[in-house]
Amino acid sequence: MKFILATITSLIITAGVAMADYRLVVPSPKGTGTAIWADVVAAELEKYLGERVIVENIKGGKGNVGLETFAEKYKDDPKTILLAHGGNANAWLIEDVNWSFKDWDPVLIQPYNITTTIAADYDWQNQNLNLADCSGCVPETLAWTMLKGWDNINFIRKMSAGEAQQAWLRGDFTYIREPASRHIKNTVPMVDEGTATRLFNHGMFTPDNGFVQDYNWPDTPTAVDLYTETFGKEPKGPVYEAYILAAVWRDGLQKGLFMHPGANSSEVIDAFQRMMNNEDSRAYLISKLGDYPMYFGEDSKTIMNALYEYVTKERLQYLVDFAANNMEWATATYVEGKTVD
Amino acid sequence: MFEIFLFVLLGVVYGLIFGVIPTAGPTTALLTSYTFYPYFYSDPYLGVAFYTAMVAACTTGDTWSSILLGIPGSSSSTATVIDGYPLAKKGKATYALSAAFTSSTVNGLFFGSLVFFLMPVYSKLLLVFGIPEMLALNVLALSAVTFLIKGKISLGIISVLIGFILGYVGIDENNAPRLTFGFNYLEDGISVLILASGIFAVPELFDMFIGKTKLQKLESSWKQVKLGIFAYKKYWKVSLQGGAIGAIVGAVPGVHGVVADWLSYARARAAYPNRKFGNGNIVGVVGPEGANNAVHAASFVPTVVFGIPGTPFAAVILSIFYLLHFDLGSVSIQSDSDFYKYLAVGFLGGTVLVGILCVLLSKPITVLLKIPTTIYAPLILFLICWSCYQISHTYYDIAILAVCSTIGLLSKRLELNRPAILLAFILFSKIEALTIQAVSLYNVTSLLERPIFLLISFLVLTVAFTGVRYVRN
Repeated sequence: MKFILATITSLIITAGVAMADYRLVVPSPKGTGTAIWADVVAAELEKYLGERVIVENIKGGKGNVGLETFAEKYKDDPKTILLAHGGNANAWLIEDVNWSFKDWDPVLIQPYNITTTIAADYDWQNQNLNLADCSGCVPETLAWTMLKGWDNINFIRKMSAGEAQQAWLRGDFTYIREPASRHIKNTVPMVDEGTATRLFNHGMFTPDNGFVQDYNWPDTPTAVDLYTETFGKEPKGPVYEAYILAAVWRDGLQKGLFMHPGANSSEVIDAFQRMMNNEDSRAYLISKLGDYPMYFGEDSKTIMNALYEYVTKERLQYLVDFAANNMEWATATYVEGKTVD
Repeated sequence: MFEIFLFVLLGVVYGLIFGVIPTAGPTTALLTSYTFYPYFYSDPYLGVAFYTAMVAACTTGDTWSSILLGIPGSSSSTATVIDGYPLAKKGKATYALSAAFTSSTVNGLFFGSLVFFLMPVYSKLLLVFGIPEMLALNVLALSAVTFLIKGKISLGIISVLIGFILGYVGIDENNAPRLTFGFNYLEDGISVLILASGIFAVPELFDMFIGKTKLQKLESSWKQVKLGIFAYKKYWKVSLQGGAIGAIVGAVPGVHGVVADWLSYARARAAYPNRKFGNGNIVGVVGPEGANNAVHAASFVPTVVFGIPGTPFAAVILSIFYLLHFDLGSVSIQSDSDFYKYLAVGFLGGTVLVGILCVLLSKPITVLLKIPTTIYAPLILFLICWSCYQISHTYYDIAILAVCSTIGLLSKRLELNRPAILLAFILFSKIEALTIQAVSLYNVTSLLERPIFLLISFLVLTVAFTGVRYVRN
């Protein structure tokens, strides 16, 4: 009898261990771009991991509840992965948060690019601009400040990116910022019709050369190139430095998977490598997520190290000052220990 | 054909289960069925029909809990409770349910057809309703709160203020935390689902559990079902007006479904100024139920045409459809006639199926009221806790539910106006954000050049004036 019980117990334990799933913590609710990214990647990754990947969306605190849950509750869980996005990256720079990227190992980093389009009849150099204080829009706010000056910007608070998109469709806004997938869907037809013009993007982040021309939009200048072309000189000064810092972190770390040190990260990295080496999976992911490179394993560490190099005391101070004084963010705080110098 | 019918039916059954769970609603139904999407890889169009039928069924099914338990089936079906629950207490649950389902189904079909077949034309509404118009529409819904006040005016005003304070929780325009007491969780504000559960469901369940809720003699017969259908026939104009309100409000992203719910209730009361409401008037059921399905049908418009989800459930359905390779808002989707066909079949077929199912069940289901409440009250409480836990998957959800439940219990004991609390709560953050946006973008002169804004502003004054006169009387 004891034997039977012991056998059943061990079978249950074995089955439990064998069926223990991976967990992907997503600090955004279902329906958001980051949550969709997580669902697409998790479904594909399962095939290569040979185990289920349960997506756990944890909303709250502008994403901080999810990040804190990963940092504390899943600290000792070898099978929990975190998906952080560019908005979290900017929050880490500007605010005093209870978590740090430095405590985790990167597994995969996917840089992205955000495109800025204006209405064809909008004279961006001479007319004022309505700009939404939406989540994740800090680099655009800085880019426009660099190009037009803060005094020529009507900064509209309590306006989400979705509301800004509606305002653009109605013609209340003369500018829209979008990730590649949404830009292709919504705005490329307007550009083709001649009712809108792609003005600038931030470029594609590379660890060696910073922002380079995005091969998806070869005819669109980066914000820095646009400034140089327009004013005949290269940008410099506090706004430029703050812009570079905010933009490389938001777009360089647009989507990042992290695990705790000592977790099964090598298993996950190996699965990613096999997934991206498979032509069908690769094509599927590009069709869903856009044609931007994915860096995993040592390459993702190289990206993170390159990003940390950008965080100098001077740049961070400029960025926090801009957020506090111009954007009037009450939570903007300079925190020691984030900079390289 | 059989396959489509089968998946519409499955969607209806699943949606109906979540419609019946108090306060759960279509968002919870979609979240819990999110992982089903890979089953539709072989035929994604079936997935469209399945999920759309689920939304339609949830929307109709949430009436059960509003009428039988006095707990809103979802946050946008609160108005039905006001007159529906007193009818159930009087033993006329079957009558109320039958009238509600008929109103909801007929309008779901009529306005659903209108929306799905005229979607490109319909989508222009988004372009007409700018920030000032959306602000005015939200204020109009808030002005309808005057119709909710009964008894002491001071209690009504206190209720609205409590709603405002709860809506104030979150972050201000400078990202500074407000009334969050150091909890990051609260920076996104209190969830509507949790607040609705706390102030409506838990107090009612508590009273049921201690045996305080007494239902009068139950008149459950097919005659009552017929009488319900006749009530709809008698007040079809009120239902149609409710549907029209829902069909407009639903198509405007950023305006919560609760706006249509209360505006249609206010319209029903205004249509019969000499009748008493709040004690079981069937007109107060037919009106808001007329808006119920129409608002959900219309909320597909901005989601499908522009890829802009106007409601929480639309955000979830947008991502499910994306995973099924339907990129809502794209040029490709606009030329995909099969997608529109399955969307319409799902919603309209689901509406018909659930409508028939609900009307047929409205007699036998009331037998449930004979079961001792001490048995099913804990079960419903468990389901509500589970629904709330789906929001962030943390125990914060349950902790905030406990706080909101305390507020709900106290409000009930103090005879505060709980629907007014919920309405003020939902509208506060919308009105605040839209006011900040409107002040930043417009001046008085430019506002005076907007005819729709002026028209709605005029309606605000009319509704407020009529409401105040009603309260005085």
